[in-house]
Amino acid sequence: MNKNLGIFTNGIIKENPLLVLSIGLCSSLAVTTSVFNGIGMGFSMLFVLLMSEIIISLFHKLIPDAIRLPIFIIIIAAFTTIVQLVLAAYLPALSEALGVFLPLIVVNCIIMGRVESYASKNSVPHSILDALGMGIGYTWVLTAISVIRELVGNGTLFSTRIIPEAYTVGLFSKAPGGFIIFGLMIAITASISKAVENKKKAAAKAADGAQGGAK
Amino acid sequence: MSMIKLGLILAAYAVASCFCLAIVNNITAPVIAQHQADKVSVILKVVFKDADSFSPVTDFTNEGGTATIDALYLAKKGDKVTGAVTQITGATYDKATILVGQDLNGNVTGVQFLELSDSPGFGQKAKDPSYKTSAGKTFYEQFAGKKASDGFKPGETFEAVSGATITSKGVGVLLTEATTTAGSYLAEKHGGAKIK
Repeated sequence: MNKNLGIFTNGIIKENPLLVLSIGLCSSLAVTTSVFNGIGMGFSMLFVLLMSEIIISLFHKLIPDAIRLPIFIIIIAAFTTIVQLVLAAYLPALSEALGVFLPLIVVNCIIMGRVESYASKNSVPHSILDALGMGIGYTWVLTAISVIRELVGNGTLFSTRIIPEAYTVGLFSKAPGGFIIFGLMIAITASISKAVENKKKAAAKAADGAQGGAK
Repeated sequence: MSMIKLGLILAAYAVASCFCLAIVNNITAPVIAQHQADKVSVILKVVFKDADSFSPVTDFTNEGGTATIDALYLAKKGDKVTGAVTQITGATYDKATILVGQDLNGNVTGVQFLELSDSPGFGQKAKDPSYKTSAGKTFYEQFAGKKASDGFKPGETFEAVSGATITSKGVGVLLTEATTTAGSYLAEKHGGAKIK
């Protein structure tokens, strides 16, 4: 049980695809100008990742090693097209806003990376947990970045005005602002995880010391 | 031999995915078409205000050029034909789909973009409602009231988007083709003025 929880939380913080593994960045910088887009992209990605990992871990014994990459791409592309069609039909505003980045989910390295390094070697339940963890990890980072960018850059949240237009910093809704916030978030996560690690080490050392003293 | 086997396996996966996609497409296609039709019907009213119904016609002849005329709508007020709206798709910097309205005298009643895939920040300004020409109008609004027979040349008969000359030229060509095609159709069937 504990191991399963570990697989799930892995993607959310410890091996977060965006903040720690630093993959799939370009689309995430481009779509995070508004919270609506950020969340929409996050969930589209989560869906494609989840379905692809399920199918691939289910069939991985039937996929010959020599042609595994083309097969992965066929499966990922199929699910991406499904997302694209469904969004165009039922959420046209979102599909218009995400534009070219929606079809580009196919080549998003997070999906390819997880499918190749995880789903093709592990069982279905573990792959589901991994996909959910990675997908939620991707979605929460996108949401966090887009909240900051929309609020500071545009003064709005979900298109309702919160800060008057005169006090907004336009830079943050442009690409450089995205990079700055992204860099800050990576720095904060890295320093927190380092601090936690140091604390653990110190605790372990103290425990060792105590044991040594008891001898 | 193993090559063929691999090929067949790959083909099997492709066929299975195609099958799934075909099912999804069957379900979503009518909904998407409906959205597109709704969007067009809203724009039709914007580019031709002085009409209460629009009916598509198919018996027009495309007057040369490389652009595709997707549809030609007759604008009607009551039973009387008062003009036409042309939906044209063709090259700008990338490509655009534009709706152009014109009355029987060959005057443009309005222009709207249905789609435009030119570069953000440059060509996209052409459809941006917040981009204003020196006359204080958006790029597409400036065409309303222009005479189609004067032609559409950036810098001469209309103001180009600064930094997007090719987009502006492309839009000019599309407008010329659309207005001549619709103009001849109106002249032939509904007594409109011929655009030279």
